[in-house]
Amino acid sequence: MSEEDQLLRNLTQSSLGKGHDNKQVNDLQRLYRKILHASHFSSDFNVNKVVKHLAVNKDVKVAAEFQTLYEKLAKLGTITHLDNVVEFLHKVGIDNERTQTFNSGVRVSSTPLQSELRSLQTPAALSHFSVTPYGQTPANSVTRLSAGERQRLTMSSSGLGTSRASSHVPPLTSQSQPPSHSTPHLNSSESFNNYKAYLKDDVQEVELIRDVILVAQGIESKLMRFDPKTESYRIPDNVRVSPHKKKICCSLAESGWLYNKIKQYVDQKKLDNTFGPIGLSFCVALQSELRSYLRLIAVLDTQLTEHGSDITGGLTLTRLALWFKEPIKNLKLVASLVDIAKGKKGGALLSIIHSYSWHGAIAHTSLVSNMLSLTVKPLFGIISRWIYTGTLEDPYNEFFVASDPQVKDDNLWHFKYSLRKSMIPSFLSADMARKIMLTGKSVVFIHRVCHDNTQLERRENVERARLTEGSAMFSQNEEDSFTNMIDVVYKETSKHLMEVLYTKYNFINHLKAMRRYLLLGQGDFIQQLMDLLVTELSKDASALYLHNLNGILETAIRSTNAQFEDKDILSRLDVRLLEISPGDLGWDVFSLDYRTRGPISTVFTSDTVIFYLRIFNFLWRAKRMEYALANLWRQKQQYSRMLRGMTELDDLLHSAHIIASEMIHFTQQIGYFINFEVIECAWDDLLHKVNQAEDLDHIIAAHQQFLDSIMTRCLMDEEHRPMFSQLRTIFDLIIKYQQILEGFLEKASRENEYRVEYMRNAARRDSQSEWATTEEREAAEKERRTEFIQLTLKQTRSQLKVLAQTYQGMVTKFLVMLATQTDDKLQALRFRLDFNEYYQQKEPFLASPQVLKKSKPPTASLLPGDTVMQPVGGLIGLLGGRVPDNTM
Amino acid sequence: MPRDIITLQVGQCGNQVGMEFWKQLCAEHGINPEGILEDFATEGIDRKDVFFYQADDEHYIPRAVLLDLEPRVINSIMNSAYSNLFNPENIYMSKHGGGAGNSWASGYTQGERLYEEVFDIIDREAEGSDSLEGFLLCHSIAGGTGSGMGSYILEKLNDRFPKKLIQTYSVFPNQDEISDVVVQPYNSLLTLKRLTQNADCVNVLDNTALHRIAVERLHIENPTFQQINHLVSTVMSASTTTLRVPGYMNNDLIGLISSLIPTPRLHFLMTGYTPLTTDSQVANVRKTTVLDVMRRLLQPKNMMVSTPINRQANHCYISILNIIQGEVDPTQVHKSLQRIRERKLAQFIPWGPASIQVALSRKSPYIQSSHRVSGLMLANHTSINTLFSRTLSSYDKLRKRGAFLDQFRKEAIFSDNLDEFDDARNVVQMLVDEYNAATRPDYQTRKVATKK
Repeated sequence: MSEEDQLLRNLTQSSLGKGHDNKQVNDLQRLYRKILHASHFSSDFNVNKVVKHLAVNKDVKVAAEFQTLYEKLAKLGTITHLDNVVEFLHKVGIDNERTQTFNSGVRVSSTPLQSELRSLQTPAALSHFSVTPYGQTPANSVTRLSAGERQRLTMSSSGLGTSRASSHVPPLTSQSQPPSHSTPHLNSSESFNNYKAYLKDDVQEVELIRDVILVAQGIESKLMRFDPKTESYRIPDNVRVSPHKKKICCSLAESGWLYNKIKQYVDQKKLDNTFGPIGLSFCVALQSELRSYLRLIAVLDTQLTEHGSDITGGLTLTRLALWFKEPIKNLKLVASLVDIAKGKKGGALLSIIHSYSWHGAIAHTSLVSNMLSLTVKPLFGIISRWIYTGTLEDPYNEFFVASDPQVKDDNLWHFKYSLRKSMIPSFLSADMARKIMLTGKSVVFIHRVCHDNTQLERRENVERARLTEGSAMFSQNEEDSFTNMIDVVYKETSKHLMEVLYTKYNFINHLKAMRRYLLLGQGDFIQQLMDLLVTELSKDASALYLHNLNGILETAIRSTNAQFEDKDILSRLDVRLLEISPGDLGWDVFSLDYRTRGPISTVFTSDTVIFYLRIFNFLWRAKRMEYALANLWRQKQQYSRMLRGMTELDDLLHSAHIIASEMIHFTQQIGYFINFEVIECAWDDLLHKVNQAEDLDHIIAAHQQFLDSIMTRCLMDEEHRPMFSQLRTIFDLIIKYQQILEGFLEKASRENEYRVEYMRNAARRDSQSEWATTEEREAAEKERRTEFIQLTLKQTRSQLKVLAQTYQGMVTKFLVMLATQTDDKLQALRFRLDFNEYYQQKEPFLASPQVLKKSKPPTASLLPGDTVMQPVGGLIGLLGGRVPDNTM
Repeated sequence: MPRDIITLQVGQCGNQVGMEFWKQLCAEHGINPEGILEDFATEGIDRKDVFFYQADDEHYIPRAVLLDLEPRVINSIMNSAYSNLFNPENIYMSKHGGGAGNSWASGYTQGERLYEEVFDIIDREAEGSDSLEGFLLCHSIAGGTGSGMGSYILEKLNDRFPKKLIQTYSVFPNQDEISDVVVQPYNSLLTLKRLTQNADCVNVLDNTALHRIAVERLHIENPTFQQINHLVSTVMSASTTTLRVPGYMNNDLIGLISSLIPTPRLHFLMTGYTPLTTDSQVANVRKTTVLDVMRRLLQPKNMMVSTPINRQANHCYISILNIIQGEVDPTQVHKSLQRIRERKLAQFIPWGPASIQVALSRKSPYIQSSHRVSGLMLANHTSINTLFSRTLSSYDKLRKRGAFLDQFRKEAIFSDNLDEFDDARNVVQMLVDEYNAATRPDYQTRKVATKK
């Protein structure tokens, strides 16, 4: 038995007295030995500490004095453990100082040691103190932690520091308690009872702590089992632990549950091969959170192994609870992220995470932001590659730009790419997402469709704006460098795309060609084409041959200014025959066509070309009216000169002139309206918008608007269908009128020739001294004349009269229909058609205040209800002839 | 193969006016006095071949026939910078060079005599054109050659080319000054008959109004023929601008005049132009809007026909076509029309729809103009008949006295009787009546007064 054992036995015996059983003796001995062996002196004690302490608390002189004395002693070498001795003395000295200050109540405690000491001053604690040197630290000590302590705890619990802080606290044994301590004396039996009470717990605290640490890592331990019913770790009821401790253990065990939850998510997602890079980087962010948490646990674990649940340097459950306070909060936050992230991926995942960053607590926000900046990295990479090179690397569909592999290059712009609304992260605006999609799409378009390989990436301003960090995407306080980067690349790319379209693919020229040829802007060419096609198009539609028409087209081009057109444009000009319905004439199915291919077909899609063809068809028809009426006019001029002698035709011809001039007026006004009010205005608008356009989409939209406004104002949209068919009927009437009249004029001129011939013959015979005429000849002449007058003339007269009346009725009805329209331009058409208020006098509805109001230049738009007005026929008589004064 | 137009310039006045017209066309098309295309002129903008034909790539020759019974004016053309412009074969001067002596009858008779020679030229020119649309006759109605020979040509053109349009630019005599041509009323009346019956469209250029414009608007005290003719050529080139610069509308003569002329006889058009300047005058640089132009065109002082438009309330416009050249915002057209209707600046016929047609046209890129916008009005107005009434009354005065009829009786057409005078008077009277009738709503259903 060593000297030490002997000493211990003596000590035991002296403290217990005689008559105790061995177990008690052994227990006490073991305790004492433990106390004895505990490392009381920190290895890193330095005498300088004392010097410093003295310098700070006493005087510099005292400190210097102490130092010289110490050095002398060290030189002498008589004291082997000089440092330890000095340390001991120093501590005793400090304790004395403290007790004094505490008792005097002047200074507030500022060190952990002090607070612990203070807590020991309560009798209950003292009783523990005497028996169990490091008992449970009373809960209230926690609340009295100094600010510094709390700070350190926070630091360590956030995973940045380790828990070493507490290990710096020098342990203090009961033995080291100075005699001056105002501890009431306790007798040994009382303290033993307390000790026994302590032993009533089935497990020691240190075991409990170890188990809690295990559980905190999500591992079931001996004492704490996972209860699937409550989904929590619990200490089984049969293990006797004080309810207080049990409560602490249970609350600490929550961290284990949280840890498991997060870990499971990470593990599961890592195996999930549909989970893309954004998801995985979210996992990485989660893991890094878990890692820092585990680091804390490791530190705690080390401390536990090193110091046990020693009150001086080890862990107690309460301390543990303190250590875990922040980590659990963080784990809860992370776990809630995991919760809401379930089933989400890519941009949606980012949106969800981002939504959690709107929080007042800085710690909270910074945690979420950290995770977000980790998670956003792959998205930033995808965006960068997309906007700079047009590569879409997104096998997991996480990006908000979706690509359809089915779509071929010729439809690339319109159909290949689309926005996945759900995948747009909430920190990017819809406009931003659109710009990003557009930029990448433009890059692809430039490369694949325009076959242009300019490296925009290298441009100076593009490089300058380029970012490397994805966190700028959601950061609030920076000068929005991400928006800037997108804007710069977007503008540069779009500009380049438009340049390519304008220069390499002559976009503007094609636009002009569309206007010149499909919208009949090239008047001489259209007229020539009409001249050449008249006979061909009057045939049945099925009798048309495309190659004939193509030949005519060629001729028309060669003989007009169209010949100076760009060769490429001319080669695209073509004839197309629309679908033939039975009874169609060539006029109904003939159309010019413009073959669009290559990049420009993105603006002139096959759908928009259909619009053009429909407009062409209408304009061509309107042109034909002009053409037919002009011819009729010429014939009327010619025949009325020729038939001056046939006075019985005068009234018919006169009313024919009047009606035909009415028709000419109508078609001319339609023509002026189409040209100046519709096409010219829409064209101005289009050119303006094209010049202002920032990207191809703007051009496409402007172009569509151009076509739409023409369609609407030429009454070709759905809404105006009844008016359009009314107009068609009017056109048909015009053609019918023209045909009947021309047919009649021919018959009349033949009749005239007969008469002239008859007279000439009579004159000849007369001059030859014959009977100028015989009864027989006279009768024949008379019969023919009567037949002409009674049959042909009469029939034609009534035919034309009916047609004229129908026509006038139709036009009036058309004007009434126009009057109910709200579109300014359509009001302008009505205004033009009835400029001198001729129809207004015939149809009182047109003179009604509701309608007149609309003719005013700057009137406010009418309510829809106002436009529903039916003409009241009965009022014609009452109002007829009176023109309400609408000029103010 | 555009709609070609052959210009016939007959007589002293016709050739002077015609020459100014060709000068203007050459300038507008970038063709120099030699007929060579200038370097700055580019293809594809305008249609030169309506009025010119191409001898070779660079060389353009006017589709013009120059006719006169005396050589003075044509000789002066042949001595000018433009001597090489015309096809020499298209120039016909009467060999004896005596002229028509300011007599319609003489001109008419000589026209008859020279029929073969003249129509050889015209036929050849017509055959040389791919798609002849019509003829444009420049003449005066008061003199001898332009009126007499012009009348004969009009009649024959009708026979030879019944399907071709005939448009004339007819200069009416100045009523304000006493003419040295005493038989002017006879000449005018007889020509008017042909203009009524044989022309499709007559652009009346009233010397009275032209002089008034020159004096009052251009502040020229004693306007020269050239200054007056410059006014005329401005009007002529502007009225043909839509034919020469193709656009969506009005690309042919027939489209242009068919909308202006509702019934065959109401085909006498007035013209108006703004802004009016001469070369010497510095234009006032004022921003001109479409409305400004259209409003000014409706003012009588800018009209090239002197008729008391406002004095007789029931006279009205049958039709109006405004050709506006220059940079114009198309959206302004409708607003201007609305303003004009609101202020009732123009009175229209009550018997059918009528309106101000507005055609926008480009200016020639080769001519510097101080005016951003200019406008021409072609109008069919019923008050033009006052001009014819005036002719009738001066004719009646002269006829009543039986004055100066001898020189007419010398010619074949009047050798038997003077029926031709009565017939012409009847035709012109009917014209006056028809214009009067056109001011009334019942014109639509009216029984047309017939001959005899």
